[in-house]
Amino acid sequence: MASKDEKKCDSTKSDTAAEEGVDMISDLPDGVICHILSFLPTIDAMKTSVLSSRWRYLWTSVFTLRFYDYNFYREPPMLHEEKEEVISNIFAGRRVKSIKRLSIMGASRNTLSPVMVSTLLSEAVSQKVEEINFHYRMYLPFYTLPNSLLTCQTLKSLKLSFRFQMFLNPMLSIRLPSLKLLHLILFKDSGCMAWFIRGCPALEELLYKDLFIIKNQCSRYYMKNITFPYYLKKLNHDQYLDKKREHIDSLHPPTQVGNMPDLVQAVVNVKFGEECASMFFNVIRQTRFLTLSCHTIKTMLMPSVGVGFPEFLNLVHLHICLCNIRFDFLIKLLAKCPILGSLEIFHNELPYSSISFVFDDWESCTYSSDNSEHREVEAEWTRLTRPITCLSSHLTAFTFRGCGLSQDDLQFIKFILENAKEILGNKILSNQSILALLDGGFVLD
Amino acid sequence: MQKTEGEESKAENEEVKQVTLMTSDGVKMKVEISIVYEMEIVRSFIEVNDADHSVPFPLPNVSSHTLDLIIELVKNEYDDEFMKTFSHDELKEVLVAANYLNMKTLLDFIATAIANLLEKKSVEFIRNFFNIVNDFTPEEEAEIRKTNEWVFQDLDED
Repeated sequence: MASKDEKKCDSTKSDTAAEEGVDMISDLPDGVICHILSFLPTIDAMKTSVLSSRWRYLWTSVFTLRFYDYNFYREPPMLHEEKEEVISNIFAGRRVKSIKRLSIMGASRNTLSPVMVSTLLSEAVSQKVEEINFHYRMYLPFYTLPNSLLTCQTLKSLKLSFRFQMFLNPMLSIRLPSLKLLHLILFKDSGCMAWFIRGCPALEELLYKDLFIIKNQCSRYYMKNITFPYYLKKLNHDQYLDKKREHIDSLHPPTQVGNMPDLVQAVVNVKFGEECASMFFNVIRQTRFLTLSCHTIKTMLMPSVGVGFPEFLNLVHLHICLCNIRFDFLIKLLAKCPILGSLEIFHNELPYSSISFVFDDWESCTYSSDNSEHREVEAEWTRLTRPITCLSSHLTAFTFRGCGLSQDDLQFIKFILENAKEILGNKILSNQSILALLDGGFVLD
Repeated sequence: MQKTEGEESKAENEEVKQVTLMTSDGVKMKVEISIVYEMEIVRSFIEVNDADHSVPFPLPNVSSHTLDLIIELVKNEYDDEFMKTFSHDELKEVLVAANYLNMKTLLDFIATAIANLLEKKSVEFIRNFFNIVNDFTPEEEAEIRKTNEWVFQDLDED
């Protein structure tokens, strides 16, 4: 610690500095500075100890630990022993003996070894960790999570993203009684999901994605193991499949029992087999918010899906990504959503990274605008007379984002605006395209 | 958002529910309830007491200027560009107020922005950037650096 005499002579210096430019950060309350430091990698937070005596020990009271692989980048590369020493210095230096959040991001050789990672995870569990973000993209086959993590009483949020197969010891059971949020991004599920779910009675939000299925042909085995707990509030099911997979029907439906009565939000990016799409949507039909990706929509276009497709009685917000849609389908979907208040359509642009795939995929698709079935439906479109409940009584927000609007797009926009104009009023969330339309006197009256 | 002097009875009949807040400089401000609900300190009070929204809720640690900035930030859905127009003092005041009002999203938003300024930077750069005066003697500083030698070894980019 700095002695007080020396600090005094510096205080005059600090006055002159204050005149030139005020220290904007040091006189913030401890709690606020620690909060700022909690967003930094722990190594960077430690560096602030040398800024001034004010900062000497602040990093030791931060409740978050973050380790990113670039923090360990040195030339020449660090030895394992050196990294271990750094980690143990961090734990020795910390004044607070509790960890709220632990983040480990590893994608290169500089990152921590699996052994060190396991040590960190175990230490975090013993310090009552509530949140773990663990993204590990190194090729390390058969990594095993430490046992203590799998029975952590305090853990509320767990995000795992692996690029290798996680090894599960079937003798162990998972008990995570406080876990509310689970993200599983895995390579080859091999039963992980089902295994996790069984031990998470309080789970509310789930994101699930199997990278193996994206890259390879899907086998029945992996998909069979997917079971969503019925008590979920938020579900993000992201399972975009490769276009070259030929046997779409082999994609097994998620084995579901009943529906999810508490579901609030669902994000669906799954290419279903024909027989399981209706089943899946029946399971999530209670949701209030629904996001559908382009290829999910595509599976929904399959003729057999329409049969047994549920009504979304609670759906308030529908967000759809589309490419080359058939709007008759959309209108049928709207008819299934009686209290829909907000409709967002993103046309030809997807928030998903797989965007190029999607377009490739579509080109080879059998639904093209000139097949006879489509023409028939087009005729039906113009004849549509039955009012759609949500349009005449609930829709207050309509967003359509897209570039290069086709005749179909225009027709659809016109349809919505005409049918919902009383409720939409001035609240249309216009974008430039729509504004252009309105300028051109295209719509309304 | 409007500032009002004295009229307290109207608020409840408004279409958009509003809550009157009284800032440290004695200004009464009507604020939409959706924004007020982000202020945990006010929200918990309102919810517990089912309070009459027209009675001004005192915020002795927040000036009207700071509250203006906070409301604009929330309305702009935490727009980065808007925040960049703040002076250092304003940013600091908003940060302290967000902490006091217990506005988690706002606090995280600003803390992340400041953390990004600190990340991957050398000690010297941070000192210069925030005008932090180094009150360590060279010997003291050397000693601190030595205890965690490795941390300070990296390739600083300024």
